Amino acid sequence: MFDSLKLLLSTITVRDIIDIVINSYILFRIYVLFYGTALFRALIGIVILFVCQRISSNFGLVMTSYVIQGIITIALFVLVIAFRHEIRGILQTRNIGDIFWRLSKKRIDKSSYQDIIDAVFSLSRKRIGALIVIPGKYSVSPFVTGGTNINSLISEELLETIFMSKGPLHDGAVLVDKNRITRAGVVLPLSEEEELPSYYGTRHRAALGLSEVCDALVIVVSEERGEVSIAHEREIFPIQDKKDLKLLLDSHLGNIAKEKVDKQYLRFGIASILCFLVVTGVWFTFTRGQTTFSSIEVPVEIIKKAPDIDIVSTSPNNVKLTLSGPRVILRSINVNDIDLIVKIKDEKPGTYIYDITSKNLSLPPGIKIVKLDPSRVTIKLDRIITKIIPVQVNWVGKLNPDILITKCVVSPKAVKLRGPRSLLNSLSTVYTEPVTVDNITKSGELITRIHLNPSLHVIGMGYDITVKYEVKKRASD
Amino acid sequence: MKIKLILKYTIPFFICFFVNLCSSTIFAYVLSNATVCEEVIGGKPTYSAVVFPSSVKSIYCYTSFKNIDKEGFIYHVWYFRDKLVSKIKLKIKPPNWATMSKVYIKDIDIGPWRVEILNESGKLIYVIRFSVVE
Repeated sequence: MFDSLKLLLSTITVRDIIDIVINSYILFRIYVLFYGTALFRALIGIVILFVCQRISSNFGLVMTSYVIQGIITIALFVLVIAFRHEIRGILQTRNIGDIFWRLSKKRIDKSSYQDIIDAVFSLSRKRIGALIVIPGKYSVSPFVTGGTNINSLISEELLETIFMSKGPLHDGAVLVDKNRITRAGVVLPLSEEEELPSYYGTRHRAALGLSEVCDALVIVVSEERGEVSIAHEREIFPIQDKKDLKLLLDSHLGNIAKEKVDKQYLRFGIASILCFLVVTGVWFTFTRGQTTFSSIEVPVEIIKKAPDIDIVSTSPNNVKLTLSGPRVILRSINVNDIDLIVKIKDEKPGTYIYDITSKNLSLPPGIKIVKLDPSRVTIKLDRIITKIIPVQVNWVGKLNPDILITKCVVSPKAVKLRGPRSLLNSLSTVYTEPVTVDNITKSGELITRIHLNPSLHVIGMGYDITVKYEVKKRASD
Repeated sequence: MKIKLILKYTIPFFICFFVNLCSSTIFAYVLSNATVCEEVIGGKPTYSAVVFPSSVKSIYCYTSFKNIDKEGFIYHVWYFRDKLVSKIKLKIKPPNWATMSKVYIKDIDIGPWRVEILNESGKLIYVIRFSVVE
């Protein structure tokens, strides 16, 4: 088990680590962006389904695996359609940093929302109904309609003016962004919650409705009872005093106490580690989990030490290997990644048969050998000697019938060759490359090369041979 | 007694040694001409060459010797692509002598040939190299 893990880890390259880190970060950003939303809970469900699918696949439950895979595919489509508003809200965030790197954001400074708190309790005392939307991380634009652009600094007086019962904008909600009231008279989506207390009116239902579809915090001031309520994260609850409201706003807008900040960062830390672990697991499942087979033909490499002994022949020169391992690695493997080395033990002339085993092979990590074909290699060794051998021209072609090539002198007349003893002893002539007689009509000179067995080498000179020939007319002989 | 025994076994050995020595030195000659040709007409080689078309059908190896001091023989050994084709023993007589051997050429015999001229004891005297082409 430990060896398998060690083997698996030894296959990881820098490229793989980069791959894992990038995907971990993507997952972590999804967590940061969607945490607390209904979409996030749905995504967790998808992850659980995926884990089940992998487990069933590993246990060979083919049908179950395919069914879950189908469900995941359909669920992803359904998610995109069902949560399109939430996704749009997240993607419509004004700051690019909120999507790519920021963990939390601050929309209003403390002095501005103190004005909101004061205005809310002032409206409460005066029994003036109000609906104030303070967006969270994400835009509320996809969920709201209507309204009039105001774009004015927040002030207690302005808020009271908007929500005065005779004012044209008092029925809707005001949208707050940073330290400004951006729009007033905005229509919010109504909640369909059936268990809402009867004393909650349309204003409360609208506040709850928005909190159900996004992370905005909505402050409601009841016109009948003067009660201040907060709708946030699918819940609506009353607020007793300014201190409670301030605490809630602090929390919502990121101006939270140090302990809470620490807790938040701890949550992000745990989430980032979990993301890394999940992605690493999925990465291994995809890249290393799927074992497959592949065949490849590799050349036999022979290592010998004795300088006076040479390899005359190797049979076969290539061995077909059947390998097993992760599909991704096997796909990218080529002949250069595998070494098949046979070390010669008895360095004496003769014919030797060597068994090829996994010890002769150097395979990429994670790859195993299944079969070798053939599993034996025959190597013929011979002592290296030198010998001087005469050169002869290898004339070819069709001779002109009117001429005779009467004389032929080659230079050099003989060459010194180095090679296996058995081969050189049986050799009494070295021939040149074929020299055609087709175009020869008169005496001349040409340069050709000697044709040698690859095991032989010329010593002390090149392979070029000069041929001088004399031609006579046949009739004159 | 011991000396007699030694002489009994060593004298025949020395006799054999000197006889062999004398016989090898006595048979002397000079190779005056060695060639391959298409025909031998009137005892002379005709169309001597180093390249022959396969249409010639037969090739002669002609050798002539002079200053031969006693009757003996030589060998014409024919090789095609380093493979022995035939070894022909030929008599030579004093004082001058010409002798020849012949091989028949077929279409499959296209390629490099050589004829080795060997003396009685098989020592190489001369090599003639030639080719048969289409």
